[in-house]
Amino acid sequence: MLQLERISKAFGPRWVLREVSFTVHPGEIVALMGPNGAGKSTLLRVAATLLRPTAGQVRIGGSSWPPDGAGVRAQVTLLGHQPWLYPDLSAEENLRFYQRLYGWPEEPGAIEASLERMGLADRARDPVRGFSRGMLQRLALARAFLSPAPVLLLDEPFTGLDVLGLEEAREVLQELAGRGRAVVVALHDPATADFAHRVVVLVGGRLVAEGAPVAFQEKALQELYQAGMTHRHRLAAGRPARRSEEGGSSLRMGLSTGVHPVPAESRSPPGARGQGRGLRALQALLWKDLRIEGRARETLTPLLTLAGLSLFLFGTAFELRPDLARSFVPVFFWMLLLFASSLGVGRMMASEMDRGTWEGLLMVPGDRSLLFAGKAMVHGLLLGLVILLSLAAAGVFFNLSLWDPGILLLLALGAIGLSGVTTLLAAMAMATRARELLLPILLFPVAAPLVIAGIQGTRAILEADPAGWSVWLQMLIAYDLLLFAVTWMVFEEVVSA
Amino acid sequence: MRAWERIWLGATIALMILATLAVFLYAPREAKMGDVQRIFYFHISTAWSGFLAFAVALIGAIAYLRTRSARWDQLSHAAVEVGLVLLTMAIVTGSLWARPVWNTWWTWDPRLTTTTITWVVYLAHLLLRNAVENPETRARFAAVYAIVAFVTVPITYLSARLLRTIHPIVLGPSVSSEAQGQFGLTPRMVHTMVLSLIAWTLLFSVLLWMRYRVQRAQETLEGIEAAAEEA
Repeated sequence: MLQLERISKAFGPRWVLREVSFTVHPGEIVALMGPNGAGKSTLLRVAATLLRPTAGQVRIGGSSWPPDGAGVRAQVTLLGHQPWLYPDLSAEENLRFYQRLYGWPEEPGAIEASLERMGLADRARDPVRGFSRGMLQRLALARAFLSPAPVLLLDEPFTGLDVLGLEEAREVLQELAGRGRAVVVALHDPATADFAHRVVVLVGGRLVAEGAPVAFQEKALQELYQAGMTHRHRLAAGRPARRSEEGGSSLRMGLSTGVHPVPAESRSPPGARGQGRGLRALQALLWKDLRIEGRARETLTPLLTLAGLSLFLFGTAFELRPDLARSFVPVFFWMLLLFASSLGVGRMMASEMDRGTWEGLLMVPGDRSLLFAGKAMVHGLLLGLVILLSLAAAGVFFNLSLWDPGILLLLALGAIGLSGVTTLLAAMAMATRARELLLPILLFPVAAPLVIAGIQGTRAILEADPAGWSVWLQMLIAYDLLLFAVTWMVFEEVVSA
Repeated sequence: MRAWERIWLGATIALMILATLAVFLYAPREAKMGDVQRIFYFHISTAWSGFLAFAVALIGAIAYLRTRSARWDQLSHAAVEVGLVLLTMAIVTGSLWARPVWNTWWTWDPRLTTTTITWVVYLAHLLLRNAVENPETRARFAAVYAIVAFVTVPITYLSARLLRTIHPIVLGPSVSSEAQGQFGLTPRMVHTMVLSLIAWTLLFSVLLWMRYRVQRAQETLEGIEAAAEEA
């Protein structure tokens, strides 16, 4: 059962939701209606823990948000404005990725069945890139169909669907409700709400009316929206109003929906199973990023090209003698690492946000620092690959062997530290107006001590100064650990709005 | 301005005048460096107040993330701005002192480099605030960055104690034999230094309080405007 208790949400001085309360029982479908800007999407995002309410609480199965976002998230599936799909993965791969990331049971044939249910079985192995808007929406619905979560939240799920698709989608939602799921679906077209058991109307962030769908035909809704009500209204004229079970001064419409609570299927919520769930989600994240990179080469190829061009320009500009090369080449490598980190990690995070898939990742049940670990590992691997290939090229261009275990250790530590802090800062920078431009401004000064220690340590090895190397290695390790620990700890704060 | 604020401000002005007089009239002339050494009292006081400001920004940031109260964000923001001004003064006074003592306005010494890193980090903090429109997101990101940024502060403190540097360590032993401008503190120098530290700390607190109040007033005004628009 989903309970929304006096949910209010303000963005700065502007109130978007004001004390919205209602309950959705297992087996019930509630259509959330309201004019543009009424707060429907905000309410769903609050219920899905993507936004923190300014006041009030969301309760699901013994968990309350805030503070227990992870507990609530484990019992909710959200289908947002964006379909959260990766264009370079096939339909089946997309579903498998979310199945593993969210820790859903991997029952044989479940993915095929959900694709079949949404009429996509024959496109299961096709990359999503070639799908129409309606097909993307069907696939997103197939993901909701696959989910065992007891609460389903859907934001305009019929967008882009043809008449047939719309009917199928409504049937799917009814089928899910029949299995005991509590379903909340935000809609704008009253003609599509008749399959719901109850309609809840928001105007100006307030719950102004609720009742059976039959009471909310187009004309009635228009009047309601235009009135811009500040208090709840009774629409079912002549029916006795009764106090809502949520308490407070709200009135609930007389309902005759024939809805009776349906016990949810005995599938345990995703977050509650096994300790290996985190590891499985981590593997899913790595698999997804590496597979996409392997297919699209969106980041690695440009970075390697950049590294090659930089080597060429650096080499021709300075024509370094070996003694000077020992002093300057470390600077080149560590600057390359810094720039590759900013450009590469920034690009990967920007891609997640541009595709709208970042929110899908944030819906991971449990601790979101798992995302930090997964992203940092992928970024670290990417940086490591760029540096190793550049080291090989440097041997040719500068006639200088850099394959020293001490140098490799320094670079590995640098890649680890940089991948962590860049992942955190990229998650922030990409959510700002300046985006890619802001990331190096935030990153370079914070990473400067790490880069300086790396340059000095590498130089010490090339100049055969093991004592100097040892001092800089210790500094690098200390700063690395400090930076990684701090960034790990605060990552949740960056992503929990 | 309330009565206790007037007393606070008056005490700060009085102590600042007293400390400045002590620097020029009470503290003895340093034997090797001469009168230029007197800039030391401003340099160390502004540096101390600047780093204290960043510590306050850190406390405000942690408190904001725990409570989500806008007051803590406003305090943290005010502390970063005041801290940046104070650290800029520390860098400028250090540079003025370096010219006659080290024969250069600037050198890439570990202490100077790490101080500059800290300065740039907090400048980036202000740019970050400026790049976020939503007030809640702005406060959250600024708090996170203030915590990450503070990692550079102990690095700056330790740099002159762990690495080979020409920057003198006046308080405590230095490991660097290359320090230039090292001098012993006489009792009168210690009195002047302590007085300067207290006066500048008070000045910092006044500036912080004023900036915090301006920030609060600004956000309250924005709230009133938004409410009026909605109405």
